[in-house]
Amino acid sequence: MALAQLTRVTLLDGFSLRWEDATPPELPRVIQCLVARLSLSRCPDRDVIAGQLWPDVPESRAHGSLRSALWRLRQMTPGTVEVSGVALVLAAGVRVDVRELEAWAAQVLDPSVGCDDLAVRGEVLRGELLPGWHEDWVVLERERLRQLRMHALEVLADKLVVAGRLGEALEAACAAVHEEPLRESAHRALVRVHLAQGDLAGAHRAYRSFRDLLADAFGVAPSPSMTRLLVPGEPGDRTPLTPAPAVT
Amino acid sequence: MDGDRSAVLLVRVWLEDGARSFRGRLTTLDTSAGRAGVDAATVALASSPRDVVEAVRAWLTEFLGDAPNPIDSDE
Repeated sequence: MALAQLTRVTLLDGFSLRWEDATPPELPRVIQCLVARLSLSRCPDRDVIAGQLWPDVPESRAHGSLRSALWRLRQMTPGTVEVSGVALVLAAGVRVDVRELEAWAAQVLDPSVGCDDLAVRGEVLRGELLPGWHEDWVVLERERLRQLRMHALEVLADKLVVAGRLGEALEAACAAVHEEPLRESAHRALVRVHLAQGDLAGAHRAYRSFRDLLADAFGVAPSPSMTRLLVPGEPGDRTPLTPAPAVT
Repeated sequence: MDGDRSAVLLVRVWLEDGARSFRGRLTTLDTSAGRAGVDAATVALASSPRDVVEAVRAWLTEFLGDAPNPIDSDE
């Protein structure tokens, strides 16, 4: 089996490159940057890659640095990278956790895909992309992945409710809320899970908690889409669902 | 001002179904050399263009004045 097929790159919660049957040498930061950039790349053009990895030096020097890093990467982890003309990509068999997350999210967000094969996977709930890395291309990609994960978790919660897998639905909804506590659509998903569980008190509690949070943060009330989920006066509801007063 | 200092300000805005205004969170990240590992911190929540612009101005003033004071940071 080719070495590339045994290689796994992890970018969520920090960088690592591992082989299935051996431990590669510790990669210098510049090599880690190259592997991470190739792992996240949608543009394999080496001009673009050199410009992103070495943005503050002349183009010729950036290309020289890229050639050097590429040579070192091939020495330290043979078979990880494929070069074709001006294109630079990870070898086909290299596994990347971010790509697995994207594939999972694509499945979740595909309306034609039911939830029989979907689950709240561990890596979905894990931390952010390359924490502590401040390069522009990392910051932007971190935000894109965060949004993707949040949307997918909300949709997954609803799909799992429909399938009656309410424990997992609750886990997905809570994870979405954790990602952005002020996002109403995530809280709506959470309320829907409580309602599906028959936990009306929990649904009202979740609503009131979000309503108060929103009032404190923005001085606004939840949208009608949120309030419509609950009917005032149901058992377990001890507080009217009137909007919190606006903060002026 | 220390010439090696740098920072990122991330403006996240989103629209909720049926809501009359957007909602936004402004998050800062100190990207100065040697500050790796410092968590991002929320500097403002905003729901109007004016709020966002004012928050950006205040953040920049603090950054230039070397007085970072994110609202959910211990600093």
